[in-house]
This record gives sequence, structure tokens and C-alpha cells, in this order.
Amino acid sequence: MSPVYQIIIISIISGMLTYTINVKLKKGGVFGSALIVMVSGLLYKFYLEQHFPGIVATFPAVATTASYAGMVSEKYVKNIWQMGIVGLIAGTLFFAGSTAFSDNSEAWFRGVGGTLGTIAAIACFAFISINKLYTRYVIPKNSSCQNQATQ
Amino acid sequence: MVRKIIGFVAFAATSISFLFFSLWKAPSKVHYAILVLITVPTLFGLLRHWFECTDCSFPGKHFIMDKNKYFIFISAFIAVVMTWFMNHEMGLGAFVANGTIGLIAATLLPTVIAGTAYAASFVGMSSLGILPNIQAACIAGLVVGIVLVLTEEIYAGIGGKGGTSAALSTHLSRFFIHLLK
Repeated sequence: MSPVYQIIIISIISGMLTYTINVKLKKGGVFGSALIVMVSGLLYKFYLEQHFPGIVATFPAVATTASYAGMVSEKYVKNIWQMGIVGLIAGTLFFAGSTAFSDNSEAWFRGVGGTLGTIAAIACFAFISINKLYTRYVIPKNSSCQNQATQ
Repeated sequence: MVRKIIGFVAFAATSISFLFFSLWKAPSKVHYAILVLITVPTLFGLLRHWFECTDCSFPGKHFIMDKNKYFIFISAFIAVVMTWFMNHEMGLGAFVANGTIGLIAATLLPTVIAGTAYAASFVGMSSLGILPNIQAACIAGLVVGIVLVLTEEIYAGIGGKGGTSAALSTHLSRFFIHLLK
């Protein structure tokens, strides 16, 4: 397992890139995600594996997880900075939940296709809830404080 | 409505089982704390999505097995088998195989069918321990085709819908393959 900071950085960048291709460039989620997955897979297989063995062992898996999260609709994630937070949650969950899909024979999700997408969906749900609470309780307080200050 | 409820429960069970298994096997208190911090808002998000899915004022279209759904089923089956073949027989690896299928689907197919083909290809990324041969991949292709056709509205717009469908289908396929052995 790569250090947690590497996982989180890769996750944020990958999520933001997919979101940019998906929403900003309007190329669609499938194209955006597939491009990131393929580039990360090729980069790992033909370059990183030989030159940096061990350091970035989880690189394609983390990039893939965040790229699945980047397929989210603009209805739920409004801009690229919010996508950065989703990437942060996805990377953190990938690190914290790795025992569920590691090479341990007891791991229920070991080798199961779709595990990375499941992590992406959980990260999106967590973000949507946090964002909903933030817009409901934090933003109204701030705006009322600003109104009082201007009056 | 019954179809939506069963679909939602199956999807939610896949997500929750991942979180609870991770919590159960958490190697340290830091892992445990992170997982709790993510699990709580996820459960709220799932609850909110439950109300969206079961909202009677927006019942959605009745389920009809139209031409589009047949295309979804066929493309899902082909995507799983091709991804499995590229992954294990050609030795390209799961990520390159999945990316290639995704790019082909996004370029050649209409948006909805490309999305389902890409989601189905996640199943083909499974290890040989789960799908040991091409026959098992074919069974998984049939299962994911049925799951994707029946659960169109569940997790719609959420990044990771395809992955959750794939994980659910892979678990179901594992069960059926185990029964057939």
C-alpha cells in the first residue's frame, strides 16, 4: 500500500481530470473515466512498474476509483473544487477500507469487479450529504451575519 | 415500485456491506475513525436517495422491455466477456482492458448504452478466483445485463453507479457459479 498522501493526491487529481472531461469539456462520463483508467493502466504497466516498483503499486486502482467518482452528475457536484473534495473522500476511503479488498483470503471484496466503483459511490453519497448539511445550516448563518453587518 | 425497492435495497446492501466489512476488519483506530466519519454521512445520503427513489409523486415510467433494453442487455454481455478476455487471456490487465472497452463504447455507442457497457465491463475486471473461465464470465455477463436493465433509476447520476451494479452482479454471479459447480 502506497503512503496515504500519495493515494489522496492521485485521487484528487484523477477525479478533477475526469470531471473536467465529463462536465467542462462535455465529452461524457464514460469517455472521461475510460481515458483516465486507460492512461493510468498503461502508465503503470509500461513505465511506473519498472522504474518505481512498490512506491506507486496502488496508482492505477486509486486513479480508477476517483475517475469513477468523476462520472457524477453536475446536479450533485457543482464545480471542480467540490470534485476535489469527492476525490479526497474517495482516496481516504480507499486507504481506510483497503482491508475489504486486500490480498487477504477473508476479504469479502477481494478480486470482485466493481469494488472500486462501490468506493466511488460511497464517496459521492458522503459528499452529497455533507454538502446538503453545509448549504442548509452553514451558508444561511453566514449570509445572515453579512446582512447584519451591512445594515 | 416493487422493482425499484428491491433494486435500491440490493444496491444499498452492496455499499453498506463494503463499509461494515471495512469497519469490522479495520487494522487501527485511525482507520476505524475515518470509516465512521464516512459511514455516517453515507447512510444519510442513502436515506435521502431512498426517498427520491420511492417518491410516489414521481413514479417514473412503467417497466417495458423495449428495444433499448435489449441493446443494453446485449452490450453488457459483450462488454463483460470482452473485458475478461482482454484482462486474462490477452494479459493486458484489468485497467487497460476496462479503459479500452470504455473508450470503444463511448466512441461507437449512444450515451446510455455506452454507460451500461462500461459499467458491465467492471465485472470483467474480476480476478480468476471469482470468474475462473470464459463460461463463468458469460454467466456474469447475463447477470449484470439483467441487473442493469432492471435498475435504471437506482443511483442515477451518482458517480460509482456502474461499480455498485457490477459489484452486486459479481457477488450474485459468484453465488450462481458456486451453485453450478
